[in-house]
Amino acid sequence: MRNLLEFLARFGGFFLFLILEALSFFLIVRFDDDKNRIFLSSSNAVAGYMLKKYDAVADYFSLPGELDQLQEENKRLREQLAESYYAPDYDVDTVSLTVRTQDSIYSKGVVVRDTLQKQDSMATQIYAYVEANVISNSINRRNNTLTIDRGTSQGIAPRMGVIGPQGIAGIVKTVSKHYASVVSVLHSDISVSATVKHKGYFGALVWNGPDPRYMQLEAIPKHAEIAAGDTIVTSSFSGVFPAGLLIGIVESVTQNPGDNFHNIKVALASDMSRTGRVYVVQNKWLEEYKQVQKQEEDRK
Amino acid sequence: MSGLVITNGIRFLILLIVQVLVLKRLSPGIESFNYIHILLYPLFILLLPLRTPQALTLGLSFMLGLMVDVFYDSPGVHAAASVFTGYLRGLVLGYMEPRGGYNVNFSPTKERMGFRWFAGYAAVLMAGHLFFYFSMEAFTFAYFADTLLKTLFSFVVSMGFVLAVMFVFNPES
Repeated sequence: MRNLLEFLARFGGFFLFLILEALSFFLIVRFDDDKNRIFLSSSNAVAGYMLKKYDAVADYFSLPGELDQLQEENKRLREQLAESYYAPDYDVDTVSLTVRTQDSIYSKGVVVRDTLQKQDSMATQIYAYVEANVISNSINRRNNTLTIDRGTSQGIAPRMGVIGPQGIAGIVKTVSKHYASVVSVLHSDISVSATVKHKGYFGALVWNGPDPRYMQLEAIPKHAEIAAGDTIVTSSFSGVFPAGLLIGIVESVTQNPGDNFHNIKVALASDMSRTGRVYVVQNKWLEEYKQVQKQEEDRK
Repeated sequence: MSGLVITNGIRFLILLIVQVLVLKRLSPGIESFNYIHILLYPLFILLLPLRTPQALTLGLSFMLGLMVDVFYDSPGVHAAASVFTGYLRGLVLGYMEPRGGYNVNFSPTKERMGFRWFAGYAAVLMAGHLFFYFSMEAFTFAYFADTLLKTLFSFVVSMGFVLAVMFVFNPES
């Protein structure tokens, strides 16, 4: 007994060191598959509250940049409005348009507005958006995360997409009642299904670091004709993001000898260092989509 | 005694808050050269009183690291680095013991031990902490050159912060 005590007095610190390191390693490795990890993430109530309070102050310094981004986004959305299109026999006045629609007088120009009106009654909304404020963000680590001030009480759930004013920003990972932590597109776990606009090739967008302005598009075979300047948008496969959402522009395409795929460097449209306001994408058809995928997998 | 506990408790909280709210948001590197992290919180481990039992040092280091991890969304990474630093501290203190021994009632501050001693002590521990941290962050030795670069540049800036804090506040204990 005395020997044991002497042994512990001499080497106990070292053993405690090993035990605590083992515990840390366990946490690092286990991070991906534990529902209780909310407790250890920035989306927990205390951490979220502190980040939010601090962000309320720090926000003032980033506001000018954020406003520019939002204005740019508004401009883009405005340009998609029916009023921005020219139609020869089309009066902007809504009442007369409704009459015309009822009279079944269709012309090319009216179709845009017509579609918008139909959304009320006929078209079904697939994607809904929840606006959120980024209360914590980083870009200089290997695995970057965002924390946002929306949680389960606003309908946020894991695996939902997060988009900024200029493009995709990340995917929700853990959610508490009022906060959520989001895996940034600048994270080693991220993989976004993406496609080359007008060309149809699709691949997986990943981030190998360290430059936060670029991502890498993988799994596009060498025979695909891709050049710098091509636009990369989200594909419709994942159900996480709406299809056709801008991700970025191809910066360079290189080939490794002995590899069947292109090395494609994509310049991100989002400036991740200034992402202050984001939208969380809720896919209302996700359950159905998952069921179909599951059926497909079961059949195999 | 209770004074020491309060001093270190306040230091724990302030360093934690400054680290996770202020320093986490700073990324002084330019975009294509994103290697600089400012870690100031290990200063708590550096400045624990000399007579702190080793087990307590390790326990407090682990707690501090884990709390930083909560805000960084990286469970275990800062905790692993902090525990490493907590253990390293004992070894470094052993090597750097002055001829007359330590006055164990105090913390090894710049004021007590002199600038040269403190700078050397802090440099070894900060370098150890940063290297361990970046190794854990990558969690592979595949990016060894990257890890070394990150350690080097972050070390320069973080050391600057540590020494600046010592000069500005110049704590005695």
